[in-house]
Amino acid sequence: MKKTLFLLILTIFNFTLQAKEKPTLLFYCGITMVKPMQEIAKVIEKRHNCTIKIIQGASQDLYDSLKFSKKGDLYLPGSDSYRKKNLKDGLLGESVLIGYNQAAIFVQKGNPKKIKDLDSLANENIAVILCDPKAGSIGRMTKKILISYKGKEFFETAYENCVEIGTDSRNLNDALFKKRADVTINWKPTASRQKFLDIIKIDEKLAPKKRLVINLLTFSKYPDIAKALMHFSSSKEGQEIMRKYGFLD
Amino acid sequence: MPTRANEKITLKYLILLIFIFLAGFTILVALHFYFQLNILDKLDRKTDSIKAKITIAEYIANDITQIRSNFFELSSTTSNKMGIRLIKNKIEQKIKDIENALKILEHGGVLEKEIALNIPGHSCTNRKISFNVEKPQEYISLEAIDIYPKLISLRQLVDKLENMLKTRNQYQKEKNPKLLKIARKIRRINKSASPFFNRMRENISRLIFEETKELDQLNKDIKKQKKFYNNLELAVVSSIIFIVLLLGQIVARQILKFNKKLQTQLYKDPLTNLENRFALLEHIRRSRVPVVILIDIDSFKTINELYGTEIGNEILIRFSKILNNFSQKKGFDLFRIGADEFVMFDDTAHLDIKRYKQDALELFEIVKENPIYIKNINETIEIDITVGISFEKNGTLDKADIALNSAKTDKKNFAIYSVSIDPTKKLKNIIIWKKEIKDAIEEDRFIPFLQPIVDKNQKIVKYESLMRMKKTKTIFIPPYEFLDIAIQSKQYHQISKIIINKSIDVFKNKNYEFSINLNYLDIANKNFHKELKNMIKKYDIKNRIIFEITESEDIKNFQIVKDFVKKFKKEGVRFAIDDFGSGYSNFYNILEIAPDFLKIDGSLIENIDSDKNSYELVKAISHFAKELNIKTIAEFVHSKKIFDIVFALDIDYFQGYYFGKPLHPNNIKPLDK
Repeated sequence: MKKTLFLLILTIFNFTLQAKEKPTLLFYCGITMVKPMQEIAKVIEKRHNCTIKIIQGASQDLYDSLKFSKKGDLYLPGSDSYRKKNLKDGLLGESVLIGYNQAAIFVQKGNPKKIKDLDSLANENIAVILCDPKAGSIGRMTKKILISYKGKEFFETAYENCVEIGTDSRNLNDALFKKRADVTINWKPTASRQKFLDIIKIDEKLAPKKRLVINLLTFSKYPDIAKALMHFSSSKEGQEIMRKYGFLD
Repeated sequence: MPTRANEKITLKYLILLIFIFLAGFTILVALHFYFQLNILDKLDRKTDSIKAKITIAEYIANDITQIRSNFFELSSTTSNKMGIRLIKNKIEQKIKDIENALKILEHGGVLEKEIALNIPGHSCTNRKISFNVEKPQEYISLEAIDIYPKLISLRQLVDKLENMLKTRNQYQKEKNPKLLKIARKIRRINKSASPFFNRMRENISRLIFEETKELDQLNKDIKKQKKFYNNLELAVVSSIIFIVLLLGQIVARQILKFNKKLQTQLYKDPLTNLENRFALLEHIRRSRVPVVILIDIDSFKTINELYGTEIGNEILIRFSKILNNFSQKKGFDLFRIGADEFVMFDDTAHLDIKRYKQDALELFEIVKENPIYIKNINETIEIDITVGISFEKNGTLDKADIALNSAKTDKKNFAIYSVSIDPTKKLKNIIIWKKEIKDAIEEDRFIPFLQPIVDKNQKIVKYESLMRMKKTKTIFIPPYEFLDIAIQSKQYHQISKIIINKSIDVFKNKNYEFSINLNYLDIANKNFHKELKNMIKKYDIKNRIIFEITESEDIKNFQIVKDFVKKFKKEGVRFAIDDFGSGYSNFYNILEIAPDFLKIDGSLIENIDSDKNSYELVKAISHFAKELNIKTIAEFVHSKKIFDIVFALDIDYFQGYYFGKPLHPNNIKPLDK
């Protein structure tokens, strides 16, 4: 009898505990890295009894958001250039390298338009989609590649030739998947497990590997948990996850 | 003591049962409030909040779409300055609407939206969406985080486009060769604006999607919580029912056990372990024809006083064993119904009174043959019993008790109940007779009947006045049936006076001798003397009236009788001693009265032909009377044979049915001359 009563009280008490708010972390994550980061966030949520909200989007948009709101704990852009560029604002604290991004030419499976190189992007007979240089990291990278390839004129011509301007790596792939476009430049890891496309490598001189770093935000409310996530991502376990999604190939 | 312990245990379980019931009820109420107010209401509030959020987000998405449309309209529709300003204002207004909506999403509040209706009397309506933020400090509005910076960019973009359009218009007017270049820039702005709006839309759509997902999750949570609550409630209710039933069963068992014990105590005699009075009454109630043989130990109180209660109890136990053996042998059930009272009971379909009488007689033998030896006092105690038997269906035991008392009164071993020995019946009889006497007095139904008295020549020489109560026209009741009751109920004087008055009235004008019976009560009533004296004087009947006095045990003071006789003899009245020879007669007293007549008791006369003793006694009385010069009268002369015998014994007068029954005064014959 006493045991039953105790159990009942314990159950109610447990409920009360569960009802108590858990710490919520805000993680600004570039769309390209969302999948592995969701997996990593789940592990941290479990370990630290917290909720990690991943706010996904274009790397520049994300930085603008965190800068404007001054809320959040972590920032992972598609390229470390965003860290370099914005470090002066004092919003980005310590960082950790968790993987790499490299741009490549993405074409339809079997490459029906026989695309060989970057020149195809200026070809009016080919439907091109490129990412907005002011939005996602791949847009910024594309701009760099095209200017390095054949100068600013070529970059502008290629953008003029676009049937669509994308905002991030995901909707670039989506345009290929839905056959709205024949070609794009995108981050290589986003091609893993995508059966509808093929990749054409770009010379590494034009498209160097870009470092993926998680940045601790200086205004983080839960720096300990945020650091734990950073630590886990760079750990063997975390790296396995990154490898699984192609960020360490 | 064990009963008290049982009581305590039962009470303990009962209190526990009530406690658990109340505790269970309290837990259920607490659970209800906890879940309803603390969890479900919270979840419901959250649901409402998410729904409001989704609606506001949808408005933002709609505003973004309109801004996008206006943005492209800006560069393509008009080159008019005012037109551009107008479209820009529209965009600005929508940006402000979005900012306002984001502010509400960030801090809570009510979003008011004007919805165009375009129906008569109602051009538009206001829709209010209320959104609350429970903990503003901890709350993060992802919408605000995503969209605010883009609104800044949007404003910059619009300004940039406006400037470019102004330049383009200027170049157009001037036909400036840079026109192509600015047109290309405008085209590029438009191209880059498209993904910008897409991002904004995506941001808000993603948030709508997330919130919808959360809403789904929340609904699932509510369902889950409700299910959990229902299950918990069911578990609590089931547990309470189970425990209450379990305890209820224990309590019921305890009560049954307790009840059984009480029943045993109620129906068992603890000393002899025999069944008691209540059990017997139950047996009687269920019986067809009950046979109750009530056995009472004579003077048991004396045994108790003499040897003490302990020995008394031992005697009772030993005696019960004797009775038990006998009862078993004879097929009776044995009960102890009082201190020294036992009952042998039988339930029979066919009453065999002889058999039970025989059993009672055998019981006396058994008891006599089995005296009880008490080792402690080294004495053998012989038990005497008295038995009362009843076969009555109603009030069996009471009637056995009446029989027992009757046997004791009559110094008999046993008696069987009959109405005749029932004092209650007698009592009822008295009440009936008392009423009957009262009515008869009031209705003047007391009448003197007159029986002739003849001399040796069988000639009527006088009459005896005898009391009768008229029942019907033809039925007249003789006094032996009611006289004792009349005396007990103090109605005698009235009756006696009526009879004497009526007798005197009958004979006042007739020159007959007549005798009237006087009871000791009449004689002792001095007030009556005077009245009697006056009447004798008034009607001058002193020589004709004879007072018959019965010399009986009822005469408490014989001197009163002597004085009365003396007083009336002086007046000339003659006296007869009635029922002489009946056994009470005191010859000395009689001699002192010196009566004129001796009326020999009828019991001696009626069987004088067959009873030698009666004959000798009557002969002696006759002789004795002759010696004292007292005339004799023989009563109950009912045949010639009797008359001849008493005549031969020289009796002077005769009275009886042989000569005439007592008759109504209207029917009497005149005296023989």
